Amino acid sequence: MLIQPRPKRSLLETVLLFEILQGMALTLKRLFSKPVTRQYPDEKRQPFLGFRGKHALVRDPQTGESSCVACLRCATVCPSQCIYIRYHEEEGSGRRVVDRYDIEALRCIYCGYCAEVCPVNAIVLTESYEYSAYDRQTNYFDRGRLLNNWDAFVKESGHDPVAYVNPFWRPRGVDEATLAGPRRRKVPEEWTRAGQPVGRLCRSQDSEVLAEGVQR
Amino acid sequence: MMGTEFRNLAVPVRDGESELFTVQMGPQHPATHGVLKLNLWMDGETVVRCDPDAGYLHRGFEKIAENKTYAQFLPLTDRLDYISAMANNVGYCVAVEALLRIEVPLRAQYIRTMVAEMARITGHLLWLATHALDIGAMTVFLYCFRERGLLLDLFEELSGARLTTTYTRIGGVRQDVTARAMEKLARFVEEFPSRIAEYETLIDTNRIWLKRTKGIGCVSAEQAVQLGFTGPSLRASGVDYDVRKHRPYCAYDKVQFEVPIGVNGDVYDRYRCRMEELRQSALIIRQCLEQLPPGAIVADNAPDLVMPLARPRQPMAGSSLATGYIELVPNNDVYPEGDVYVSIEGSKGELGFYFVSDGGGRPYRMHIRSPSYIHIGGLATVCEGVLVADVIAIIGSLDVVLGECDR
Amino acid sequence: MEPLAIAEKIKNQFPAEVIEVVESRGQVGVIVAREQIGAMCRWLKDEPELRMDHLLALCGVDYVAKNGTYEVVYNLCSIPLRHMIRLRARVPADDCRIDSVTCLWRGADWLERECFDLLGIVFDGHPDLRRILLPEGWEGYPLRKTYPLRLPAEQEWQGYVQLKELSRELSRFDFYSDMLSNQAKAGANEAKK
Repeated sequence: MLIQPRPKRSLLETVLLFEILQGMALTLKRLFSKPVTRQYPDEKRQPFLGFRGKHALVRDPQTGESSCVACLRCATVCPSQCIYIRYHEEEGSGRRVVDRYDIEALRCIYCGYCAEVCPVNAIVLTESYEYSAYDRQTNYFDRGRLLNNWDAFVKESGHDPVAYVNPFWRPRGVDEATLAGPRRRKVPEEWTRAGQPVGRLCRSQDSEVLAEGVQR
Repeated sequence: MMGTEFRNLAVPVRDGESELFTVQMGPQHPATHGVLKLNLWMDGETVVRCDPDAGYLHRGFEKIAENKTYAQFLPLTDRLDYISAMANNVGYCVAVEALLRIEVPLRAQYIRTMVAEMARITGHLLWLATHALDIGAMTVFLYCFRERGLLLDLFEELSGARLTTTYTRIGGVRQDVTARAMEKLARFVEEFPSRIAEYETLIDTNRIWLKRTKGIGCVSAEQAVQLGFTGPSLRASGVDYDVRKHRPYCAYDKVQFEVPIGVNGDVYDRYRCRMEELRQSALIIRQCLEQLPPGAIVADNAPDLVMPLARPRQPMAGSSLATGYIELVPNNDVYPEGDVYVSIEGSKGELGFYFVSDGGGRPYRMHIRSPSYIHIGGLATVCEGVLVADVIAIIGSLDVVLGECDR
Repeated sequence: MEPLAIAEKIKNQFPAEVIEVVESRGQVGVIVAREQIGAMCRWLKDEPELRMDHLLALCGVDYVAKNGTYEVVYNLCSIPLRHMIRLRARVPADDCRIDSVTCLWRGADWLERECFDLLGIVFDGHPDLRRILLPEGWEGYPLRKTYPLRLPAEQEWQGYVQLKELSRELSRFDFYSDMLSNQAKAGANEAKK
C-alpha cells in the first residue's frame, strides 16, 4: 500500500493560515474538556491487581511467621541474584528452617519470577510502589523488614490478612494436589484449575473446561 | 575530574578537515533520544562528516545471556527497546521456541500478536511525540502521551508492569487476558483512528512541519537496503520488506493488514509511513479481538521457569543442587544443539535473535540484531551534507532507542 | 528458493570453499573457509536467482574450545525473492583475520566493528576498525569464552576503578542529614531577618 499524498493547500488556505487555525481550534476544544493528568502526591493512583511493587514475605496468620520452606527456587530463578537465603536442617525431622532471607531491592529488576515459582506463596510483590529512600540500607530488606512490608501493605490496602490471596501470586507449574496442605491458603473456587487466570494449569486438557466457561 | 581518561575523545581526523568546525553533540542531549553522541565536522552550518559514537549504554547483554538460562534472560529483553518492551518479549520467546522446538497454542499466539501491536502503537506514539518535540511542535507530545498512557494502563493490567512487562513466557504468555482488559482494548481501538486524525490535524499540513521534513534526509531504496535499514525507515524509501509478511510469526498470517510503502524516503515519508502503521496496528488488534480463540495459553512442553541446566552425569540418590557440585552433561533432549536466527518486526525495525545452543541450559552464543544499532550506523551516510538542524530531524525520523542500540 | 537448494548452488559454485552444510530448525547454514568470503557474498548478491541483497545480521561465535576456530556468521536474506541462507566462515584462532564485506553492504560497517570489539576478529579492508561499544583502552575481548566474568582487581578497567573510588567518596556524604541541617540553617537565617 503506497502512502497517500496529502492534497496541496489552496492559495486561500495558505493566506488564511487555515491549518494553523485548525490546530488552534483543537487546542481550544481541549481547553474545555476534563484533564487526563493526575496531581500525583495528592491524588494517588491505585495500581492494578498483580502490580509488581515492593517485596514482602506473607505473614502466616496462624504462626505469625513467614511460610517459607527454604526450597531456594526463588534464589535460583532470580535473574539479578538479589535474594540471599541461609537455612539449616532441623535435627530429627529434616525440616528446613530459614535463618536469613534477604532481598536487595535496589538490585531487583521486578520480573516477578520469585513470586511465580514460590510453591508456598511466601514471597510476593505487593502493589505498594512508594518506597524511595535517602540511603541504600533502607531498601535492603531482611526477613523482619519483609514481614513488616506485608503488614504495612495489609494495613494500607485494607485487605483481610487471613483471606486475601492475590491470584497473580499463585504458584505455577505445581499441581495443587502435590502442595503441602497446611501451607496452602484457601482460595476462591474461580482461582483454581481452569478458572485460574494465571498459569501453567491452563493447559490443553483444561481448555475444554475453559471453552465451556466461555460458552456459559 | 575523570572526564577524558574515561573515553578517548579523539576521532581520527582526515586530511583537510582540520580547518572545519567540530561539534560534539551529546551524549547528554535531549534530541539524541538517549545517550547518543555525534561528532560533527561542520563547514558553517553544513555537516561535512558525521561520526556517531555509541556504547554509552552498553551493558554487555550478549555476555550476560551466555551466563543465564533462557528464562532468566527474558526480563532483560525489556531493557532493550524499553519503550515497546512487549515486542522484545515476543521476539525473544519466538526465537527461543524455534530453538527448543516448542509449539505455542493458538490463543497464546493471538495474545502475542495483540500485545506486539500494542507495543508498536506505544513505540510509534512516543516516537511521534518526541520527534515532533525535537522539531518544535510541543502540543503533539501531550496528545500522544494521553493515548500512550491508556495503553500502558492496559499493559499494567495484563502483565503487572507498565514498561518492563516480562509478559510472555517460553511456550506461551504469563497469564490469560481478562475480559475487562479486552473490553477496554476494544474501546481503545474503536476510538484510536479518530485520535490519529487529531495528531494529523496538528502537524500533517502544518507549513513549519512540512518545511522541516519534506525533502530532508532522503534515502534512496538502494541505499536503504545497502545500509541495512529495516522497518518504517526502509519502507519509506519504497522497499516492500516487512517481517510480518515475509516470514510470518505468531498469528500474523491469520490477520489481514497492509504494509504502508513510501515514495521519497525523506523524513516526511517516514512520518507518513508510521502514521499509516498506527492505523494498521489498530486494525490488527481489532481482528485479533474478534478471532481470539479459547484454549491453552502455555504449550504442554513448555519448560519450567526454573530451567534445569543439564543432566547430572550419574543420578545421585538423595542429592540436591545445594549439596555440592555435580558433573553435568549436555541435556540434548531439552536443549537440542544447533543454531537459529529468528526475527520479528519490532516498532523500530527488524529485531532478530541469533542463538547457538550447545545442549547446555544456557545459550552458547546469542546475538541481538537490533534495528537501532544499524540505523545509527547508517546515520553517518544520511547526515552527510545536511544542515545541523536537520540532523535532529533525521535522528528523530529514524526512531532510535539507545537501550537497544548499545545493548 | 529452498534453503537446501541454495546451499547446493553455493557448493557447485565454490566447491573448494564449502566445508559443510548444516541444517538446523529448517534453516540452513553453510560452513565455508574464510578465503573467498568476499567473492562468495558478491556472487550471492549478484546472482539473479539468489539476489541476497539484505544482510540480516553479522556476528562472531567463539568455537575455539571445540575446533580451534572462530566463526563469523552472515545471515543473508533476499527481499525480492524471500529466502534466506546463513554463511558461517571459519577463522582460525591463531590468525583472526577475514575480509570485510563493507564494500557490498555499507550496513556491515558497524556490525563488523562490533564483532572486532567483542571478539577481536580483524576485518581486512574495513575503512574504520575501532572499538565501538566498549571504551577505548579496554583490554581483551569479552565475548571470547576465555574472558572471565570477573576480572582480578588489578586488571580492572581504569575507568571502573575511578568510578568505584568516586562512589565510595560520595557514599560518606549523608544527603538526608545535610538536607535537614540546610533547612535548619535556612530557618535560622529567616529568624535573623
